[in-house]
Amino acid sequence: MSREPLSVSDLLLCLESSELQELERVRTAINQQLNTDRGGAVLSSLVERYLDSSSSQVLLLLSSIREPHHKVLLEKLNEALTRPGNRVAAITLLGHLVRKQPPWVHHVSQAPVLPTLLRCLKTDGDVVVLVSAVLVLVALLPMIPQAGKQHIYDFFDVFGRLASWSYRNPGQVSAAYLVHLHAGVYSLFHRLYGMFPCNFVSYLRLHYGMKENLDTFQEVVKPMLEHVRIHPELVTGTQDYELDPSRWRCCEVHDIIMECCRLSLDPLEDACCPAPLPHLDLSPAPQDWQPISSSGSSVGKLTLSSSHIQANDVTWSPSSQCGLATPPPEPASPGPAPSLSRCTSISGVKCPSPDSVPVTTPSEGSHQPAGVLQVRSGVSVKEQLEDGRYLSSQVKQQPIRAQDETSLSQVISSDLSSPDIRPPSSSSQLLLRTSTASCDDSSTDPAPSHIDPAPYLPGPAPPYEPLFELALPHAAMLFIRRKTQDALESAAGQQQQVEEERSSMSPLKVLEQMIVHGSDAHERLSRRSSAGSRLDRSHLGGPAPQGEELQRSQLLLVHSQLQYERFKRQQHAIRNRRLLRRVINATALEEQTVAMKAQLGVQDQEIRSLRSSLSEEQRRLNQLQQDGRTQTDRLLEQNQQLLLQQQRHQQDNQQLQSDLEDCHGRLRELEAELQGANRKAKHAEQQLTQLGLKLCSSEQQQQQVFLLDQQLVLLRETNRALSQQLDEAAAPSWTEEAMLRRSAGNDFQRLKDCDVLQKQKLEAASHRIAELESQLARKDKLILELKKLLEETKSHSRAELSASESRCVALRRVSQTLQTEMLHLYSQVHLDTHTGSDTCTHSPALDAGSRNSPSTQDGYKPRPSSSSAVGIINGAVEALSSSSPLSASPIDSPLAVGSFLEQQARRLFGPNSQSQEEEEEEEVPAGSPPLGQEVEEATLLTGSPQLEPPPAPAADLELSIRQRRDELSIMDYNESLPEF
Amino acid sequence: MADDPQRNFRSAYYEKVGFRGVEEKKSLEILLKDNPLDLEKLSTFSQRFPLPSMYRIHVWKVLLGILPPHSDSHSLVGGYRKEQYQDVVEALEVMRYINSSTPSTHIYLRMFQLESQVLPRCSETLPPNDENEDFLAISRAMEEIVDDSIDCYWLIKCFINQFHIKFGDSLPHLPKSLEHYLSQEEPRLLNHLRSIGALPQLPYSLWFKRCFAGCLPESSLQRVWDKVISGSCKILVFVALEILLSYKIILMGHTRPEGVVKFLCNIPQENTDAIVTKAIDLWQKYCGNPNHAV
Repeated sequence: MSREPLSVSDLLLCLESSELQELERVRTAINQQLNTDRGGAVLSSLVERYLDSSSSQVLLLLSSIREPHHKVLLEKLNEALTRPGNRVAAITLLGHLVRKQPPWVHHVSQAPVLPTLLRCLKTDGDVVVLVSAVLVLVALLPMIPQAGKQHIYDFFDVFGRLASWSYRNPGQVSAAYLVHLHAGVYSLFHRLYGMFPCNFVSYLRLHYGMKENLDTFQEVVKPMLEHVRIHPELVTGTQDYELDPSRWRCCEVHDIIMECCRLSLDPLEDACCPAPLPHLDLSPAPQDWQPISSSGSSVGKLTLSSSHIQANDVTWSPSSQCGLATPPPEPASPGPAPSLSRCTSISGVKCPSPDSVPVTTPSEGSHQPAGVLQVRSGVSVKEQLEDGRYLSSQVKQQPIRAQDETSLSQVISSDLSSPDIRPPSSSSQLLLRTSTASCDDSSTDPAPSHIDPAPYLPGPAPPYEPLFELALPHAAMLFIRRKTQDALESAAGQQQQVEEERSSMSPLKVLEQMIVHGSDAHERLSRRSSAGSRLDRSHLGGPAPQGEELQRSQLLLVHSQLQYERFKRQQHAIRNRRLLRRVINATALEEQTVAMKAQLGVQDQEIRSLRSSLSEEQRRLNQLQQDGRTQTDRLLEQNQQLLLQQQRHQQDNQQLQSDLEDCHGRLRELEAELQGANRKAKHAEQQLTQLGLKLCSSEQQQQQVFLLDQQLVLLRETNRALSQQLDEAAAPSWTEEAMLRRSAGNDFQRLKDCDVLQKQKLEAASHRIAELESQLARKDKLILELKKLLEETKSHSRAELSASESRCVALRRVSQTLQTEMLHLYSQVHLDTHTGSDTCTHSPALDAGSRNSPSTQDGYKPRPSSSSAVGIINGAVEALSSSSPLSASPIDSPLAVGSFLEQQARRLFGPNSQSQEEEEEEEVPAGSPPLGQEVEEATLLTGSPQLEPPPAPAADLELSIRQRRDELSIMDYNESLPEF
Repeated sequence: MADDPQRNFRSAYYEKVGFRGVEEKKSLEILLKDNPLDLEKLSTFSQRFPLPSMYRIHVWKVLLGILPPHSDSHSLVGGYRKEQYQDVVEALEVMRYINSSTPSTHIYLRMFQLESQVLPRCSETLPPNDENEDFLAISRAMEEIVDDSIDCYWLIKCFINQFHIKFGDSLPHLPKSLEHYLSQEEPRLLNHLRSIGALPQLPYSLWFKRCFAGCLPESSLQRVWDKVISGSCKILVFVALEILLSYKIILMGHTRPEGVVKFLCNIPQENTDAIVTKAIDLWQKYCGNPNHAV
């Protein structure tokens, strides 16, 4: 970074080199640095460079700045604007950038540059600054229409300040500056009025309603108002709506500019008004040029010239005036013809309308020698011819470069051809532009005498004085009235009236005239200076007396104006291109329409032919339908006939069928008859055979009857014989039989009764049996239940018993253990005494038992063991701890002692052992009555242990110990029994 | 006996749809209302269904014979039991085997030894052998399950007695049986264990002699013991099998038998409930009708 500024400054120095390749290289280098630049150092050095040197190369570089760098650039510009020394250069740079319309131009509205610019416009006193700033502002406004929201009153304040400034001229600057300023204010006025009509008009009303501003209004603003139409927004729009940014959303810059131009009545302001407004376009022309013509003496020719000039003027531009080769300006509206006619009418009436009568009467123009015009009258026919040509060319919408060239050539020729003539006048210049001939004639112009009043009066800028008057028409009018009173006395009264009524002249026009004057003056000056007379220069109103400074600043002003005009022209060119595109589109559409129409015709024809064929087809169809109908009729008829025939056939058929049925019926009857006859025949046959059978049987019966008669007779005979026999023997046996029978009957009766009785008894018995059986069953059940209950109770009690048994067992175990323990303890006690009395005898056992403590058997043993025994007997816990920890020493001994005790017990109580085997443990104390003393001692031992320890004397001790040992041995014996 | 749990035909379906223990509590209550309690029915129930915890101790006591089937004599027998306990404790106290600072499990051990006549002499207290260690482990677990010390002692005593009487013969066969089921369920794990030589070193005594006391947390353990008390020692095999299956991945990771044994002796206590549930499922799957499973 530290190296870069150096290299940048070097590069910037190189930028001025004249070699093209080198220049290109440097430029790319700087561009690269710009792209990599982060802090904006390169950019700021570039800006500084431009502010110092106004280098065009730097300007070129700066105008190609891209988006992220614009902030730095704008900040830098803002910084420069705040420094008064750099202000002009900064504004120029800003103007260049704005006119270039970079993509980031809309950021200007948010950048601090804009307020700073506005502040400059409000506070600065330098005309150059003001003019260039106001032109920048005017160019900038359509690009940032949304900025109106915040800054609208700043714009209006600027306008108000500049208007009053240009009128009151507090800085006492030269009139030439004021002309520029006026033109700038005029442009601003148009812009503001075009963009924010409601706000602007309300501002004007407010601001110029005040008394102190009234004169400014009269002098400056009112003439401007005369150059605009009424804005339609004034009728439909509101102040708020105007400031709405969405209003501009679909507008481009040139659209806004066009919108502003459309409202202008000044042909210089709106050089490109569309066709629908030809009258408005053209009406200014007489305004502008009437005075010139009126200043002339011959009115008739003046009209001609004025119309001519107006026609030319439509295509005028400052660039063409200054001889710059630029693309052609917008072609003039295609309505010169009406203007011409109007002009002629004007020429007839002399004052077409109070508005259209121009006020401006340039002092020089007013004294413009009539001769010029008169001379020009000679050329007028030719001019008219030229006009016609121009008109035709305009109607064809041809580019008017040729015309420009001619005007250029005219300028050149005028430069060449009028070197030593008196100071140039605007009218003469214009005439020069229109015709070369007039230039030639101007040499004979006697004007110089008239020029005197204006150019020679004020020292500083004599040629511009009258123009200033023009810019301020009211003052100018007074001035003119005063100045030209004498000169115009000869003129007609109506012309005076015209002068009275003329309106203000466009400030642009004034500026233009001033420039023309300036250039003329400069040319002449240069001529003069070349001729060598220095004094003349001052007389001729050249800029020399003011010095280079003034000249330069004027040049700056002209330059900025020129830039502004160029900007306008570019915008117009853009618009033209759009329009051309639209025209091309329209023609294409037209061609398309024509083609479609042709297609339509073809299709029409087709339709027609199709229709004819359709009708033909319809006819044929009709014919076919008729044929079909006739055929159908015929067929129907045939059908009916056939139907009739069918009916007839059916009737015949029915008749035949009924006949057939009759025949069938008859046949059936006959068959029935036949069957009846057959039956009768069969019946008769049967009867015949039956009769034959009956005959046979009757014959047999007759034979039988005969036989039976014979038998009957025989039987009757036997019967008679037998009955005779019977009567002889029957009477005596009857009574015995009856008695027997009765006794049998009685017996039978008796037996029967007996039987009944027996049966009843049986029933009762069986009943009883059943009863008993049920009782038995009940008993059985009861028994079962009882058994179950018993079982249950058994199990119940068995469970309980088992529980108590287990308890018993446990208790037994407990007591066993307790006894074991006791035995163990006794054995210990016994051991103690034993070892005390006869250590020698049992020493081996002891040795075997107490291996752990072999060293101190003799002396030590008795005491600790006895004390331990005592302790245990006492049941005190401390004994355990005091005697030996956990009785470690006698651990092994009990076994040995036990075995020893067992041996002793076996030896002593051998026979007794068997008898006491069965005894229970509980019975042990009770079951040894012979050992009462020992028991006592034992109880004494356990019950009152306190008494025991004292027996220290050896004899008593020995005795008691022996007794105890005996007892113990018995106990031990008893105890040890289960262990066998 | 098999009809009674089916008294409500829905009970089978409850279990199928996952509602375990819906009907069990009610049917158990009905079972417990019988006056002479039917021990077979109770053991069948305990085999088939998980016991509700509020009746667990009571059922165990009945099944282990601590309480008689007749509910009338419960209080009487209970009194006997209590007195017996107190007698033994007092005797032990008198004999200085125990004092007030002796841990309860050691009291139980001494009591048990006393009752089974293997109480060593006070002077020859040896370091506890394996059998004693098993007893201590079981008693520690039982102490966690049962609050009352008398009940606890009786339960421990009867549990161990019954276990030895009933299953003393089948205990040596259990490792073989485990091997068999493991070969059916996960032969790869069996091969792995066999290959690293861990198979004979598995903690069989922890599993089968102590019935997982000290291995599983009590909440899971009591479900296993339900089955053991109600007459099945096969469940131990399946719990062991399920432990192996659950930690299969970890076990496959070990290559030394010591690591396997060490891990199995200290298995994580988190999801033992799930292990036991799966083990019971497996047990019911392999042994079919749990009525006949021993």
